[in-house]
Parts: sequence; structure tokens; C-alpha cells
Amino acid sequence: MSAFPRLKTSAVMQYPAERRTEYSTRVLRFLDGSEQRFREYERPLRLWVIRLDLLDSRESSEVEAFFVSMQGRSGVFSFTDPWSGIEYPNCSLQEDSVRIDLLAENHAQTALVIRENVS
Amino acid sequence: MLYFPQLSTGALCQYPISKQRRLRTIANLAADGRIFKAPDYGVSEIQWELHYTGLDDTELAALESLFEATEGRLHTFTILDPTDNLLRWSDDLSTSVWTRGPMLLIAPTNDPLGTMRANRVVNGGAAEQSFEQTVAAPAWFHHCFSVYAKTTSPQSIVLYRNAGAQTDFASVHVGATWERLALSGKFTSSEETVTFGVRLPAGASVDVYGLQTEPQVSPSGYKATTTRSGVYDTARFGEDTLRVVTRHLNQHTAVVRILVVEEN
Repeated sequence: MSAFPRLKTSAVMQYPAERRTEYSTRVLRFLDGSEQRFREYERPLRLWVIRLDLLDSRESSEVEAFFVSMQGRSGVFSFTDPWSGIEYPNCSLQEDSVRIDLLAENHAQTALVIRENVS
Repeated sequence: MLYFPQLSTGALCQYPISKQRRLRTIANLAADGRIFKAPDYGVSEIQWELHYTGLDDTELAALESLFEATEGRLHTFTILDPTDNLLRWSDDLSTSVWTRGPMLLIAPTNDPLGTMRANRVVNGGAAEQSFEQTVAAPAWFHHCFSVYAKTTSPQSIVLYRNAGAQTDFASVHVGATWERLALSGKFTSSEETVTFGVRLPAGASVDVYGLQTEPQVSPSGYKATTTRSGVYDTARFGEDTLRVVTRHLNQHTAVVRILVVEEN
């Protein structure tokens, strides 16, 4: 199982670090004002927004190579939540594109969103 | 063949550079949050956004000349990715992209990063032997060929580059610790391929890592490659308009978008 690449510091993300927990609730509203609500997801989905800055050439190249090896959002890899330490074995990239901005020599930045797959 | 021009400094572009890669996935999102996905290997896309400031008249003329020759987005040209390595299989000298002397023995060994991506190259013959790779790049461009090397018994090796009848080389000393060696320059030849290689004396044993060729004057951070290198011969301008702003005499700015669509 592939794993999300680590920086040379062994970290997987930098500050500001963002994580999201998502539910999906279907709300049916009736004319009399009453509602019915039910969940669409069996359990919450987790997303992590990985913003990376000050990447050197090797790190930015590895991020790009990882994106290609995953074929965008097709591939599956394991990701360890930096907050909880829990490993989520079934994750994918959220997008089919990645943008890397090279601001100077050995100074690149990029952002990726990782989504836990519902199985 | 049309080539995206280098600047007078020998660099292909200036910072900042944006590079975007796009792939395709067929996805079906179910109501319960599951996504059924399949990769679509048919098409992949790379886009560069290059910002130029302080272009002189000559540099601008080269850019505009290419834009007119391709009629905007109509025709293709070759671009050497300024963010990538022009060599293929840069960590694996056993692949067919590398031409090796018959008496060279090659085996994986420890690299400076603690992995096993370096190659121990031993010349078991009685004469000099070399390994080299030919890159489809214009010889009149400035190229920098670099490699990390070390050896247990200090000796000299030769870095070289050839284009047609023109050749350039440097004899460099290799010691017991990893050191980056580089050979940089350009030819006056109109050849559209350049060969980069390393020559070892008889009996030499050298560990090499991080073989890289870049379309610029000095080496930058090492980027490992496999099947794909940074040479793209089906690049197009991303727009049919080239906007140039002249800030001062002989000082122009422009933003250029370049697109490569690869059909697999």
C-alpha cells in the first residue's frame, strides 16, 4: 500500500494545517413546517488539506511523482492523521490536478486535499 | 523543429514558475458518499505558467518569433521543462536508455539519502569505459550535466558532452565523500541531440547518484526520473494571444502559458 510522501523533516504537513469532518444529511421539509432528517453517510468522512511551503526540489518532485503514481484521485493510499496518529488505509486525493508553484530555488509550494474513501 | 527559447542568461525562465498536472478519473458519486472510480489513462496534461520581467529586445524577439511561427496555439514546439531532469531513468543505469561500455559492471548501492538508489560502476576492462545517454535537446542551448560521486580510492573521472563533432569534457577528482560534480556549457552546433556521459579509467570503481541534465547554467536540486524526462516535443502555447508590456527601454514583461497534452 502506498503512503503519502513525507517531507525531509518526516512530517506530512505544515501549519496552517486543516482537517474536515463531513456528514451528509438529507432534510425533507414539509408544507406544515415539519421536517424529516436522515443521514446519507454511514459514518463521517474525513478530509485533510495539506498545504506545503518551502519545499526543496526533491520534495516537490516527489509530490508530483506521487500524484502521477496515484493517477490523480484514482489511486488509494494510506494516510496517518497527524493529530490522532490513526492510520487511514483507504484514502485518495480529492482532485485530478495538482499545481506546484516554484517561487525561488528550493522554494516551492503546493496544496493537496486528501479524502478518506467510504468503503 | 521549433524550441522554446532560452534567455540570454542561459536559463529557460524566471521565478515564479507554476506547473500544473492534470489527469482524468471517471467517478460516480453515490448518495452514501462512496465514490466508484476508474482511472482514465487516455489523456494527461501539463501546464506551465512562466512569468517574465526585464526581457531585453533580443529575448522578446525570440519569444515573439516562436509565437508567430506556431501561430499561437496552432502548431507545436519542443520545450525543455525548466523544473525537471532531461535524463530518463536517472537512478537506474541498467536500463536501455543508457549506453554502457561492455566492461562496465553496475550494481545498486547506498546513496547520500540512505536509500539504495546509487549505482556502483566498476570498469573491469583494460581501457577507459563510459556510460552515457543521448537527450533530444538543441545543442546550442546551455545545459548543465551533474552527478554525485564518491569512491573508496581517490581518482579522476571525466564528465563529457557531445553534439555531432563538437565535444566538451572535464576531468574531475572523486574522493571518499559524496560530492556533486558538474559540466556546463553550450555548443555552436545546430545538432538537435546532445549526449551526456561519464568516463572511467581502467580498473576504476565509482559510486554515482543523482545524474541530471538541465537546460540552465548551474545544477539545481536533483529530480529523479523514470520513463519520463523533461523533454516535451508536443508543447503548445496555451493562448492565442501573447501580451507584452514594455516598462522601459529594452525592458519587457510577459506571462506565457504552455500546455502539453499527452495521449496515451
